[in-house]
Amino acid sequence: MRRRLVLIGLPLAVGLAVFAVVLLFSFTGPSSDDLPDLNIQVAHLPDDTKLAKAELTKARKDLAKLVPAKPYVVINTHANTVSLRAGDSTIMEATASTGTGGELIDSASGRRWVFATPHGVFKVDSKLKEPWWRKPDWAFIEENEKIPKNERDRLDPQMMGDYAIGFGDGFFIHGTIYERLLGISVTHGCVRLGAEDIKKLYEKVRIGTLVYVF
Amino acid sequence: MFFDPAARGGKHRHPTLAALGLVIVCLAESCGGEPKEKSANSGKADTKWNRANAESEYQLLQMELNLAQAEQTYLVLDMKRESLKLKLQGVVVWSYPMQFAEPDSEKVREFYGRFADGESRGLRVLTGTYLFAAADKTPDSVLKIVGEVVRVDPQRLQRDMPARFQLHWEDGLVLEVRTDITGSPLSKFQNAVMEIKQVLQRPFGETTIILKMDPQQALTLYRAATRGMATLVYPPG
Repeated sequence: MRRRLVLIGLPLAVGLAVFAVVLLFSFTGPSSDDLPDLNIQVAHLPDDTKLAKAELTKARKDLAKLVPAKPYVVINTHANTVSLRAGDSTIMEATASTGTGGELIDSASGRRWVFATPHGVFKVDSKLKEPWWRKPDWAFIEENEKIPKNERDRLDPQMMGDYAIGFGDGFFIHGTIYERLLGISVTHGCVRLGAEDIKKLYEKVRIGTLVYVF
Repeated sequence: MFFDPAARGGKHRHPTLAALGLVIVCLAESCGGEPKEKSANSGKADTKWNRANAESEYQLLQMELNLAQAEQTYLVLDMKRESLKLKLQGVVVWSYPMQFAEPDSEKVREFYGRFADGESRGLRVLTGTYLFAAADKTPDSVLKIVGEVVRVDPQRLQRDMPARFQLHWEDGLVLEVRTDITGSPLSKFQNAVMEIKQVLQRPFGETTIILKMDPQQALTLYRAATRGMATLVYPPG
């Protein structure tokens, strides 16, 4: 009986131990070589308490100063929302549609487009009422249509809704005829809002309003 | 692949290995691997001007001011105000209160102590995320129609509503987020391997804090928190 126990138990215990060691040391995740080096040089506080307090207060103020004094827009591409904020408070929040992140390659010319909403900090640089969309080349290539020679054939008066807010590089926050798709990442990079929300946002933002996209 | 289980469908199903894993979990649990180390600061009253605390805050502020110059979003764990924040150029673009699944101030102090230990001084890089379970955000039937309209593969438009996921930093630091939705495991086998690995690492110094979060908010954190993201931890009060 004891011998049987040893015959079965010993290999089982060894097997378990080997499995445990393999687990512990084999799945260490990817190498950290590609990770950014965050070795930021920092200064120490002065020895004098009064000076140290002043230095600490200054650093706190410097950080606080980064928050815009005026209302600013935050576009959350992960959850597809747009909000207008002032300091820590939210003035309005709306469901949006942002870029798919997909890409299109024109087999004829080799040109490539990535349909993502750009991340970073931008400024409102235009405000348009009843905007017309000037279809870029990709809009025709995507539909397997010929790129028109006549400029007028590129214009679409419906697609952007009643208002558009430009935030640089041809990207806009605008209305949409596809309101049922709000909440899903379906756009070519622009940010779509429902009719009521784009009207509200249009009225509240000014040229120069900061736009934070993440 | 292990840290980014994008492939859905749970193809890796090995019941025998999973059962074996469970045995190891039980063995490891019975060994009792809880770290006994406690924060050196615990129990000490914070005086009006505490030079050590001030120095630590000053260093964190300088590091944050440096991070704020970049165009990348960074994560802030503010243990004092019990708040998780995503910031871009110093501006909070997303925040959520830290709701601990099991409030344990010693564990929070231990997490902070280990996070800020050594050269890190409270600033580390996110080494990866792991999604245990998720539910589809949009029904497939809706995405099929949308996909045809916008000419995109419907699966590209799908977003996982995370039910449970983890953020990882070096030295076994783990922040786990749990939501109240019922999600499907992405891979039962990989989940079992991850759980076993973490139990085995505990005696060598792994610290996990678990937070509860609204699913919509968890979606933002899960998608925004990518490998390489800078993370700052401000100390508990």
